[in-house]
Order: sequence, then C-alpha cells, then structure tokens
Amino acid sequence: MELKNKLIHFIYENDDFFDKMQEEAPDGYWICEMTDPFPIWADRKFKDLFNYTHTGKETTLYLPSILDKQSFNQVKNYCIENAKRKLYSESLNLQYQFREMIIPVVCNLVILQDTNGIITHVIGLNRMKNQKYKDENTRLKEKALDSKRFFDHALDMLCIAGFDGYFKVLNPAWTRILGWTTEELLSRPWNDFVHPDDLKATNEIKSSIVYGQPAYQFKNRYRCKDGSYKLLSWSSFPYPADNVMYGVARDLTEANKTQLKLKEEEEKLNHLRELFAYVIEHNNAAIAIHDKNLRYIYVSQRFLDDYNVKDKNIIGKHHYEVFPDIPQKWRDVHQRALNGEVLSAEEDKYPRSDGTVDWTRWNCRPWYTVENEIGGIILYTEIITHRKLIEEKLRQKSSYLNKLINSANAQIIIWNPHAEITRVNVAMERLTGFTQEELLGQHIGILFPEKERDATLAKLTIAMQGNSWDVEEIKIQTKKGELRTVLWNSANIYHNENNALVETLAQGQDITDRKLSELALRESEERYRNILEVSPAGKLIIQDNLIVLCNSAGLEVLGADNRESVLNAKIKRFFTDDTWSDLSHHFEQMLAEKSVFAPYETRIICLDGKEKDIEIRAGFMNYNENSAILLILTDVTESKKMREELVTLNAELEHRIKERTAQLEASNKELEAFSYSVSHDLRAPLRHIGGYVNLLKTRFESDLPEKAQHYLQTIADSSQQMGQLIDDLLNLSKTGRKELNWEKLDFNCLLKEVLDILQNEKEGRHIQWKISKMPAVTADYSLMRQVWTNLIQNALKYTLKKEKALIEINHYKDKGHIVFSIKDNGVGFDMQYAGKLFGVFQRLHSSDAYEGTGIGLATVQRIIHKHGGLIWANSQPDNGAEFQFSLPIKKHKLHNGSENDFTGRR
Amino acid sequence: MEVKTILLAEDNPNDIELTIEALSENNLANHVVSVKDGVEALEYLRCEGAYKDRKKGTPAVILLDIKMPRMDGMELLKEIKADINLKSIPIVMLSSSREEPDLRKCYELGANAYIVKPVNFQDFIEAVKHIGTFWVLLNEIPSN
Repeated sequence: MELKNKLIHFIYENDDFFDKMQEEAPDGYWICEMTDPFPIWADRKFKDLFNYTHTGKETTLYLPSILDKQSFNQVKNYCIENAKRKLYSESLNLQYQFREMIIPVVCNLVILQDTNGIITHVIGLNRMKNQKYKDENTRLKEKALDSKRFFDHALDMLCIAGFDGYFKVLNPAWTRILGWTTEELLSRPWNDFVHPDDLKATNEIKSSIVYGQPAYQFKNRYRCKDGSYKLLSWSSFPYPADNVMYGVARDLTEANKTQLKLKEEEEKLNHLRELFAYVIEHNNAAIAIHDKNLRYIYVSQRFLDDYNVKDKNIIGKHHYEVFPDIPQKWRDVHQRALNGEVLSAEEDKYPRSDGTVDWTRWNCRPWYTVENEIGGIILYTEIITHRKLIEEKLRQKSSYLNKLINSANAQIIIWNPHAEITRVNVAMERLTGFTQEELLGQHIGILFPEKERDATLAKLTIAMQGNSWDVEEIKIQTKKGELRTVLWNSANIYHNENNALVETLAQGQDITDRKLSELALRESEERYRNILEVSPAGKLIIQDNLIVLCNSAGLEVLGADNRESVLNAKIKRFFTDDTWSDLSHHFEQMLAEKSVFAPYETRIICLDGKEKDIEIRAGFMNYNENSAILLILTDVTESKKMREELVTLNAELEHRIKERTAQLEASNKELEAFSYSVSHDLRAPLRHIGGYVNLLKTRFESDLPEKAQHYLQTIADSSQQMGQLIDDLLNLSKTGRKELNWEKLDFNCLLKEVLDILQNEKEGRHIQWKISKMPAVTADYSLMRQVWTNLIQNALKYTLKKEKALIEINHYKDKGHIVFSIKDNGVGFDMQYAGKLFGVFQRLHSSDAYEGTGIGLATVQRIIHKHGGLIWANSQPDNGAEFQFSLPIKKHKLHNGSENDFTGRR
Repeated sequence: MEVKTILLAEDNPNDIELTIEALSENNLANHVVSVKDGVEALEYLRCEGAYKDRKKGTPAVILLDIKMPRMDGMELLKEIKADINLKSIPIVMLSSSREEPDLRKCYELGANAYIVKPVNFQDFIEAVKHIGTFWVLLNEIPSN
C-alpha cells in the first residue's frame, strides 16, 4: 500500500509523466520495490497480459517469478548502470515467463531514486513486442476466459489449494453446494470443513499429493453451513511450482442417495414381478395377458392346462392362431375389452370339443401402459364345474336338512351372535305359538319370561362362548303367556376359516308335563322323606354308592352332627376295606336281582372315628327313577353287649347242663348196670329157691310133715313175690328210661286187649263194666297198655270183696287235654294218704288184704308224666275210688277218617 | 342110633343142677355135658385141653348161659358161629334177663333160640322140655 501511495503521489507530482507512461505502456506497467524479493504492483492491463486476475484473488507478484532469469538480470543490471539517469530509459527486450506463458515485450524502465540517490523503485512500461505475440496473447486470454467460464459454471467443485492448507481459488459451485461464501472458505484451513472422521485420510492423501502423487476418487465429507455433510469425491494433482494442488470434487451425496433408491426400486420391482408371477401361477383362475394385437405376453400354466394348449411356446403368438375355432362371442369380448370395457360372467357354459360342457367364470379387461393407453387385455378364466357340483349337492343336502329340521318333533331354534333368531322350525312354532315370520330377526329374549330373561340370556352367552349346553332347562313363554319348561342342548356353528361364531343352534324338548309329574313325584317323595325322617331306625338311601338321603336316626348312627357331612359321602368310608368288599358285593347282587338281603351285622366307622356295632338290613328300591339301595342301620352295640352276655350265660348254663347231663348219664349208666345185675343176679337165687322148693315138694311131698309143707309153700310164695317185685322194679326203671314212641292209638281197641289179658282175674266175679266210647289218642302203645292194665287191675283188686263190682271208664276234654277216668265201687282209700298213692313201695292197704308190690301206680304216674299229663285220684274209704289221668291232645293226622272215627268195643 | 349130647355152658352149680333136673324130667339128663364157661366150652367143642381125648362128635344143641366167667355166653356164641366146624350147631341162649338189648344181640349173633329162665321152676321145666323135644329129638343138622 505504501508503494501504491508513493506511486500515486509520484504520479500526481509528475502529471505529464503519467500521461506519457500511459502512452509508453500500452500493455500495462508495473512498479517494483527494489529490495529482495522485489515485489511488484501491476496495473490491470499488465495483469491481463497473464490473465492473472481471472484466477481469483490477486496475490503479490514478485518480479523474479514473472521474468525469466536472463530478463531479470537485465533489469537488475540496467538499474545499476543507469542509476544516475532520470526517467525514460532505453527500451529493453524482456521475456516474461508466467505459468506456461512466455511473453516477449519491449519494456521501458523508469528508475526511482530517493534523495540519497539510492534506487528504491523501478517502473516497467510494457509494450508487446509484435502482433504475433499480441494475437497469441489474445487467444490465450480468450482461452483463459473460456476456462474461467467453465470454471464458474462447473457443476463440480473446482479449487486450487495451497500446500499451506488453505484454499486459494474456489469456483461458485462450492458456495452453491456447501453454503459457505468464498471468503468464508478461504479464510480458514480446509481441514476445518472436513468431517473429523475423514481428517486422517484427508491429511494422508494431501501428503501423497504434495509428494507428487495425484489422487483419484478419494472420498471425504465436507461440512455445509447448515451443519449437514456432503460426500465429496476428489481428483487432485499437485502443481509444486506454485506450491498448490488442483482439485475437482464432486458431490456424491445426492447421487449416492439416488443410486440407493434406484437399486431399491429395482429390487422392489423384481420382487413384485416374482410375486406377480407367483400369484398368477397359483391362482385358481387361468390367466392370459395379451398385447393390443392379441399376442400372448404372458400365460399361466393353468391356462395352458385348462385349455389343453399343447404348444408351450405361445408367447408372442396371436390368440386366434392358438385358438382358431374361437367363437365370435369371444372375438367380440376381446374387441370390447380392447376398447376399454371390463367384461365378466360368473357362470358361463363352455362347450368342449369332445362334447362335454364345463362351467366357467371369467373376466376380460384391458390393461394400461404408463402413458395410460390400453396396452392389451387380460383374460381370467376359472373352470367351476366341480364347485357347481358341490354347490348342487350342498343345495340338496340343505334341502334334506330343512325337511329334517321342519319335521323334527324337537324344537329347533337358531340364532346369530347378536342373539337374533335366524331360524325356527315348525315344532318351535307349535311350542311358542309364534309364527316363523314373527320370530325371525327378533331378539331371542322375547321367548323368555321377563323374570328369568337376564339369567337365561346369561346362559345363552355362555353357550355362545363355546360351552355348549348338554342339558339346560330353560323356560319359554309362549305367545299366550304360558310357561313351558324345555330342556335344551346347544351347538355352535363356526366359520370354517376364521373360526368366528356364525350361529348357535339349540334343540329343545318340552318337558312341562314331565315337570308336573316330577313335581307330584317330589311331593310324594317329600312325604316319603318325612316318613323316613320320623323313623326311629337309621335309614339311608344309597345310589352309586353315595349317600343320597339320610334320616336323623341315620345321622346319629353315622356319628354325624349335620346332614351335609353325610350327603353325597361315599358309603364306603364308613366301613373297613374287608367289610366294604363284602358289602359292595351284596349291593351289586341286590341291584342286579332287585332283592333284599338278610340282616347283616358288622362294624361301622363313624364320622367321629368311633366304631359301632350295627345291624344292616338292605333292600333294593327305586329312588328318583333310578335304582337305589335302602339301608336300615340299627346300632346294636348295646344289644350286642347284652347278647354277648347272654351267650356267655348260655354257654355257662350249657356247660352246667352238660356237666349235669354227664352226671345224669353216669348215674343212668349205673342204674342200668344195677338193673341189669338185678335182673340177672337177683333173680337167679330166687329161681334157685323156687326150683329147689319145687323139687322138694314134687319129690319128697309124701315124706314131709304138714307143717314142713306149709313152710315150703311160704318159701315158694315169698320167692314168687320177690320175683314179681324185681320185675316190677325193673319195669319202673325201664319206663323212666324208655323213649316214647308216639303213635295214634284207638283206646277202644286197647281197652279190649287189656280186658282180654285180665280175663283170669275177672273169672268168677260179678263185675259191671261201664265203658264209654273212647277217643283216639296219640301216645306210646305199650306204655298206655301198661297204664290201663295197672289201673284196671287196681280196680279189680280193690273191688274184689264187693259182691257186685262196678267199674266205669270215661273221658272228657279239658283245656287241650283229654281226661280219662276209671271209677270203681271198691274199698277206696283215705284221701289223707292220697299223696302216698303214687310213691314206690307205697301201699295203702296191707299186702294180706290186697296183694301187690306197691310199684304199679308209681309206674303209671311216671308214664303219664312222660306223656305230659297228670294223674290224680279221689276216694273215700269203702266208697270206691276214682283215678283220673290227662293226656295232652296231640293232633296226629290219620290217612283216613277223623280222630273220633273209632268204634270201641266193650 | 348115635346118642345125642346136650352141651350146657353154665357156671352156677344150682342152675346146672336145676337144668339137669328139668332135662331129666324129660329123660334127657344123660345126654348133658356141662362146662363152667365159654373157654371150657370151646375146648370141649374143639376137643382141646381137658377134652383132648373125648369121643369125637358135636352136641345136638348147646344151652348157653349169658353170664359166665372168662368167656361169657355171647362171646362164646360169636366164636362158635365164626368157626366153620361148629357154626351149624343149634344154640339156645338161657338167661335170667329179659333185657331187650341182650335178646336182640343174641339173635343177631346167630342164636337159634332165647329162653328167659322163669323164676317159677315149673315153668322152667316146661321150657326145657320144649327145648329138648325140638332141638334134640326133632331137629336134624347136617353131619360133618
């Protein structure tokens, strides 16, 4: 600046010099400060000479850098040689060399000196040497201008950057792309704009460029003014002479994005294309795509199959070439589609060449190009013959179903998920009194009595949620307002594909009448239950081995304090496993045979864990229309205890009896042995006595004095009597031991026999017999004969002294007995001694007066007692005696005749 | 004619005497051989012991008392009926007893008659008379 001011000052002072200088320097001038490094200031013309200003900001030029070495030395030498000269100099031929340009000029040098004569400045006034150079220079200038235009208008970012890290020259693209002004970019090292992550690489590439290695397609990111980054791709080469490098950067950011997007689009397209092909190939419809000339562009395999196209390569062929016989109808359709119409048919007959007919569904439509012009047609066809068959079958089936539903006795109702009735059958109409028309579309709630509507709808909801009713009792209110009880079961119908509920179907059974009878049954059951309840015995009803009913007494037996703890309990839990296995067997048998079983005694395990002895009676019964077992439980703990005591007592008694019996048997045996020995041994000596007496009498009677004979007779009589005694005693003891042989006896006959035996004793006597007709009696024959013999003998004996004996035999009935009596008019006896009558060896009369052993009546009494009867006697001395004995009436059936059917004989 | 013997098995001498007396009333006394008990009776019948040398021959009838020492009447009866050589000899049981069981048992064992000895001697004579007449004089047995 100082130089410039100096110069201006100089020019003002030398006005005419300035004019002259203008004239002398048609191609510009420069002023050089003559101290190393010889900086210069140049005017525009001079700069134009080198196109210097075209390349951006002017920097200080130095004289040695624009002159070739020789020219510079010429200038230096000139200054030294002409220091004393003022103003205008000789013209020097100089050659400028700047960049690639070499410009020869004629230069007039003006030397400026200070007051001390020291050269401070030199002014160079330049004139191009000749026209050739001038023209060349102009061309170069033009060329530089071209470059400049390109430079300014380049889309890429162009720059010259110094090795010092600063941009030197930048084209406007930089500002456009990054947003920074040129000044901003020039004022800071470029590294300030590079993405921090890319710095290292950028510096490395810079170094390699500085060392002479150009870079191509090096990428880094530059920060924009708005903070975003742009991806730049560089090519750069060095220009070491100027310590600069030239760089061209291209913004790849958009390109990159675009490319990515492009790639994406392409992929999408490809995918779509695949999808498209997939859809077409897997479509039920056969698809063919034609261009507007009806040539095949695309055809699906199904099309080829469905229409029996043998030629697999029909792409590009004309439709009518493939189907030459195609009817006019189709040609019209194609034409209309090509004119923009969309045509279709849902069911269309398609006669085949073999005469069969298929049903098709088709659609023919134009397709449009990007320019929205009709590009051709698309033909979809689908053969639906099979579907039509199924539909036909379905229609038939649904018609059966309709008939079935309508003829069903059960009520059927169908409703949709909104609980709107969609279907009812005739039975439902009958039940409700509503017609179909009245019900269809109605909310199902109208069928339910208001009181129960909400509860019923809740049940409905449950059914519709998938928990179909097995049996649900729902009351229906008819049109007339009557209530009907209906048992329902339901089923849901779901959509085949999405499993959504389509409809719910319910089938009902009107059980109103049954319900009424159930009510009646319940009442009777109630009564039954009450009866059961008041029963003092524990009663349970068992069904499926569960207690379904239990009365209070039953609770007590089971040790339960409330009914709930027992109801529905398993009966099994009250028994031990052994008992249960036994009991359950009985139960099964009972249920199978509908029988009862005999009282069964066992132990029960009560709820409170105690055990009790119980007696179980059980029987089959019907309860609630099902088989059941009635159990009657009696707590026998007490009675069992008593019974056990009784058993013990009995056992003791039995034992005692056995002992006694054994004793008795022993004494009986003794008695038998005694009797035996009596009969043998006692009789033997008697016999001997009798025998010898007899021998004595028969052999020596004549020799014996009368007295001796008398003695002998006495001995004989005594021994005879002794024998009789022994026989009677044996007899008595035998009757005691003898087993009775019960048989039906005709006493009339028996008496006759006895009287016959006693013939001897009757002889020579006058006896009046009064014997009434005797009844038949059940008794022992031989013993009864003995009785009558004894009694009649007695009567005969004690009437012996009567001139006219009277013996009466009678009988009468008395309280289940028959009493027999034998009455005589004999000596009789004193009733004082009646007690002794039946004792052994008891005699009320002296043996002198009436012979006898005194054993007879004892034997008779024993026999009567053995028959379960009694014997007694009445008498007065000298006034006869009456013996009476009773025999119990034992019915003994005879094969013929009644018990009084005997005719006795006197 | 061979003299038929009557074998009387009886231990009581009084009875033996009286029986023989009774038989003698019927002129059968000479034919009587009396033994004291069953053992002796068998010895006689089988010609053993004291009777080893006796003249061979079986009695026409054997009169057996039930009560005897060593071997009683019933045991003897059993033995005789079990012996093939002796079983055809008629046996008449004589007994003081009219006990039913005795009577039944004797018939079961094969006795040919059972006579209760009456206390009255006259009756006894009658009974023996019958025995003698029937079994000794009338009855024929197969000879050995």
